[in-house]
Amino acid sequence: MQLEKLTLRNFRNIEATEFRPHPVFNIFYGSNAQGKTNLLESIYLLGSLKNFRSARNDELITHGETAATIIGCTRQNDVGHEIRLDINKEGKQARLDGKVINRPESYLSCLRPVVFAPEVVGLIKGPPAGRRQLVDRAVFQADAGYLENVQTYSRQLKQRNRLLKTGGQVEQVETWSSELARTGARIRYARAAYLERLIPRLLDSYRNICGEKETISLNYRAAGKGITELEQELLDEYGRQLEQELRYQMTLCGPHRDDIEFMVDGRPLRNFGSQGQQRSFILAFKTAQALDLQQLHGEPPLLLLDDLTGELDKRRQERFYQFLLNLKTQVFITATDIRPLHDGGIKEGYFIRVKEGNLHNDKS
Amino acid sequence: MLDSIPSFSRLVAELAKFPGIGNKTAARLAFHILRSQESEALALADAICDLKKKIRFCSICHHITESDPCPLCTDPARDEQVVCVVEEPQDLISIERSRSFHGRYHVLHGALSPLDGVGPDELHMHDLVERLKEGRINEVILATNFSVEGEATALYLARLIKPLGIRVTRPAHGIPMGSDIEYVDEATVHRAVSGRQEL
Ligand SMILES: [Zn+2]
Repeated sequence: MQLEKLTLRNFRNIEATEFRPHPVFNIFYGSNAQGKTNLLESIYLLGSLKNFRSARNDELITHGETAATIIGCTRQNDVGHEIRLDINKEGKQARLDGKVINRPESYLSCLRPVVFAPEVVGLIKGPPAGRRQLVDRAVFQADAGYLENVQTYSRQLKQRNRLLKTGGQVEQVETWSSELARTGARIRYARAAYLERLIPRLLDSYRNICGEKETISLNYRAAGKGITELEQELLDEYGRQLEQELRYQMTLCGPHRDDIEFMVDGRPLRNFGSQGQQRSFILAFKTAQALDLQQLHGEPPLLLLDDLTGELDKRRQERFYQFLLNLKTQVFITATDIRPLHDGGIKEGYFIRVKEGNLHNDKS
Repeated sequence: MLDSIPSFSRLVAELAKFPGIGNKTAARLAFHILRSQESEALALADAICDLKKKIRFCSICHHITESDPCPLCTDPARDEQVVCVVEEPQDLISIERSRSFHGRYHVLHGALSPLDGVGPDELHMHDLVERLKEGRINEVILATNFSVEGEATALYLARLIKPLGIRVTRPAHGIPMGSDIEYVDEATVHRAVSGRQEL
């Protein structure tokens, strides 16, 4: 995956910029609140159609303007594409090679960015939703059919919840339970299959890239189960919860409420891990994800790294830079200070000073 | 600007109520009508009135018809032992065009969708069950759309019909998930309706 050109118009504090990234290292540096992270955010949004920090549409548009545009020229296995995202207050529209997309798969396969941002580390101690999202976004990029199942499930869930809210008859609720169980089983199966594949890589990254010694793992309830078994399990869950659900007027179980437990030496990381272990865990997860994507698609994904220096100590940073130098993928990094990167061996690339939404390229 | 020409803006407002037509297209259509011969405009108005006067819904299958019961329900050449259940009259027309089915039909006029306030009572479900209880039908094909709502409707109906001892099937292959039968090409509809799966 390569981003060969990035064009931004009225995106947050960046009024207009056109930038041809370096094939490997692109470092955005400068003081805080100048727009460094906005650049990473624009690339992530363009490539994945999702925000990596929560934002309403109007927050993404430069103050006083009505619309923002992000355009990227991409190259993947020697095929070039233009992807474009237009944002106005009402919504977003994505185009692939000038055409409005109706199926997102081919669009989303153009960049497949993987992001590491300080906020992500908070997921480990936070509510299940954050951990679910971390895993779900990884599965999306690796499994083309997953998105469709998730979209179907969320529609079925909305239907069932409305039915519970409006006091629908039990026969109808049970119909939606069966539909939800059918799709929900596929979602749980896909998550478990992905995690099973990821765990050996995760452990390897944790030890070799992060330099830690413990054994880490991810616990998920659906591990090792078949789709039919999972569907029956879900049907039983809905059956057991029905009375409660009728009382609370909402669906109380299913993959949309699952947790994925992060384990270190057999104990939950959220209760027992140190801050350093938690950061290493997330970094190991992201590198494992990148290596997995590399094996799946024949090319490593684009990496977006937001302010690593604040999150990782010198030892962890240097090991990680070594990993990046070996991976040879396109990387976008934000930093307040570029010295730690230099010290870590990252010398070739574009070092771009970002000031008040403008890019100043001092090539090295 | 248009407010100063009430007759024109009235037509634009009426046209803009059509599905898929915004104000811009509505204005273009209105200009087209304005420029056309008066006889053409009258023919259009007459066609609309004629449709509203003559077309009703068949009291048996609920398809659109000029005579009640409709020709599909009265045609002795059609197999009255098999009934194909669809969401909308357009779906019935697509299946007819594919010439893959020679039984009777039942049009629900929608699919179960709590979000839109549509439950079994809002659809022609109860009189389908009444039709089935008469005893002449021995197979029901549930050809509702392959959307979230269409799938749920098929499952709900299957559970309603099976206790009556009637065979229930659903078109199995060929129609992509999430698509409306109305928009699928004839060959695909043909494959789907002939290769159906027991529920
Ligand atoms: Zn009829």
